[in-house]
Amino acid sequence: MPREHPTIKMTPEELAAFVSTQTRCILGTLDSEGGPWGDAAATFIRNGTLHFRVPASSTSAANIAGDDRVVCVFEEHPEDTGYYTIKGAIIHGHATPSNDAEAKAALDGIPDPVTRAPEPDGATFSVGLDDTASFDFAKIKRRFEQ
Amino acid sequence: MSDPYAVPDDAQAFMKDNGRTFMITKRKDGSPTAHPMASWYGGFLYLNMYKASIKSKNLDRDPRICCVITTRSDDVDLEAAVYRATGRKLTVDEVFADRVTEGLAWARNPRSEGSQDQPDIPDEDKRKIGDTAGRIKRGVRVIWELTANKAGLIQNVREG
Repeated sequence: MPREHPTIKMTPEELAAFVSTQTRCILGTLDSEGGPWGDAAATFIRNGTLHFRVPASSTSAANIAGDDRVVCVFEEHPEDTGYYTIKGAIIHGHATPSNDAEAKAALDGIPDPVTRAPEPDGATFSVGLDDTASFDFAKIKRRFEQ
Repeated sequence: MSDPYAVPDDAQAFMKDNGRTFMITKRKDGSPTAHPMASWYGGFLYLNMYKASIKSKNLDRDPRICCVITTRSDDVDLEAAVYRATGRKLTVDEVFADRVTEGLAWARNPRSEGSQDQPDIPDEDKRKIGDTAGRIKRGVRVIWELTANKAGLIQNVREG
């Protein structure tokens, strides 16, 4: 039985609202040989654009310099909550250096997920919300016993 | 039987204790994509997914993958391991061999808790979330075995 993909998607408004509650994502990039690489990044969403920051010395920043295609993924499943609370958003796009001063200022106050301290000298990128996937398991109607 | 890449002990211990995983693969157009899911580590890293899923199709086309294994979503401080690998889809005979790695034992039947036991597979109409072994036997689900070529705790592998 296939999952109810068409019906458990978030609306664009729901997706933006969900991502606005998050301050970190898992970031996927491509290395010089075209293979996938994974990292974590600090995030901030503003005016329909996701901004993310990684240390300038990270492999991810170097990868984006070579190939700007990225994926940012968010997933939420709090401890002691059921299967039907799971939510997630996957954002694909081309990362461009962020020129949004407000977003960069906001990221100055958000800790890097790995170093656990803000990285004001980090590499900050923007990606649009045009190519996304999402799921909100609360929308599943045909449920299995848990 | 274990991963030929020398995965650091601290990363191995972390992956055994944490199954929350983001698998990063490539879409048909070559761009990266990612999916949250569960993984099991023990000898190799294992993923269990629907055969018809985009995840499995992406790996069929290009078996290069990078997994980020993390602590829970609501943990204030993120802890994570990175496991860059090449995937191989296991046959049903390999999955249900008499002796398998601990990670595969978990992946083929989470009720085994990593032992070689094969707890009963419930009838289809009595299944609950997590009853996966029967679906593997019927070819509905598949297990991918990932062989690492770079791995470690995220803070140790983040920079080249």
